[in-house]
Amino acid sequence: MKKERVRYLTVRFIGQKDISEKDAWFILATEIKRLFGVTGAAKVGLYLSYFDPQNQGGVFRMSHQSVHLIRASICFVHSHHSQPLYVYSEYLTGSLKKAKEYLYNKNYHDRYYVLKKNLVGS
Amino acid sequence: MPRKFVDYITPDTNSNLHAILEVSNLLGFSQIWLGREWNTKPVDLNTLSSTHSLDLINRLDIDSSKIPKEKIVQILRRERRNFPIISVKCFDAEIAGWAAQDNRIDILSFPPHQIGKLFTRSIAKLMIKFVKYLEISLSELYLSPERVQIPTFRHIQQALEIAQLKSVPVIINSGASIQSSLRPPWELASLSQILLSTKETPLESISTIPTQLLSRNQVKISNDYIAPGIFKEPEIYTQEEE
Repeated sequence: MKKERVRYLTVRFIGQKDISEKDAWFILATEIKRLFGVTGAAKVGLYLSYFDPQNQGGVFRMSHQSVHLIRASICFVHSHHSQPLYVYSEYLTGSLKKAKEYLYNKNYHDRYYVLKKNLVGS
Repeated sequence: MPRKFVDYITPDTNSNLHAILEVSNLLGFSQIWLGREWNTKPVDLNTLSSTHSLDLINRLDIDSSKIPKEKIVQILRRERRNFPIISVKCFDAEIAGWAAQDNRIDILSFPPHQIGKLFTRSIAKLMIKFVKYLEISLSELYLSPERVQIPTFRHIQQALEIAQLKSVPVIINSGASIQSSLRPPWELASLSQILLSTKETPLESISTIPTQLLSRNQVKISNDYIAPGIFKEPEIYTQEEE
């Protein structure tokens, strides 16, 4: 069997309340399951590799053939527990180290705070 | 050269326009089309463009459910030279057939829950003949409630299938009215990849196809343009003649 090629996607969460690591995984996994069903979700192979609760960003691991499925699912997320939530993907890479670097990259970091100010108002 | 992404927005009030533009700039768009109705005053784009470092374009949106056909013809006659892009939202087959043949219209859009019925093969043929673009705004799909999402998904898939079969150029955008309904370009492209069920991400629909349409129309609305292929001769004065 051929070894699975993986990709790491950095994802940011913007909401009025901070979300936990468990919630971050749950939000995406539920949306994928809702859109593509159990078999589709199994093919995606989604894992939450890293999550930073302070910066509300996480690194999700997935199969390289299902990146578009994750990105499409992110489109459909607009609330969590009846509270507005904005989720967007930032950077796609082949290594976890690089994905973490981008999560703490100054430009991306600043962009997150300006977006938060515009979307949530604080 | 980095890819230039284009989005289309329909802001409700001027108060949130700055926020929408700032968010779209941060999400990676470099050109924004601002949808305007025929009876509203177009926004002064020069100051907005420089503040947000975005390329802003005024676009005329005509809603065929609100305006009778005779009035649409009048508006088109008056506004064609003022707007680089004109779009008509078609709510019935008759208007769609007429709009597909009118040379003053650039883009045809349909309500997402009816697009499968209204965008037929014959309309697609007419659109190809008269060089029209099909527009699909995805915010109406991803923001709609779950029970509406399933039929809308099917309708959009059907329309995209016909567009692919007849090679109708498709423009995909968010069509957002508030900043929280904007999505990054790669996410819009990924969603359209699922709708098209192709292996490649259709990035052209949010980048090259809309920019091509704009550059074609900017030539059309220039003062030198007379008819397709005919332009005014540039006036050349030499020192001797003077």
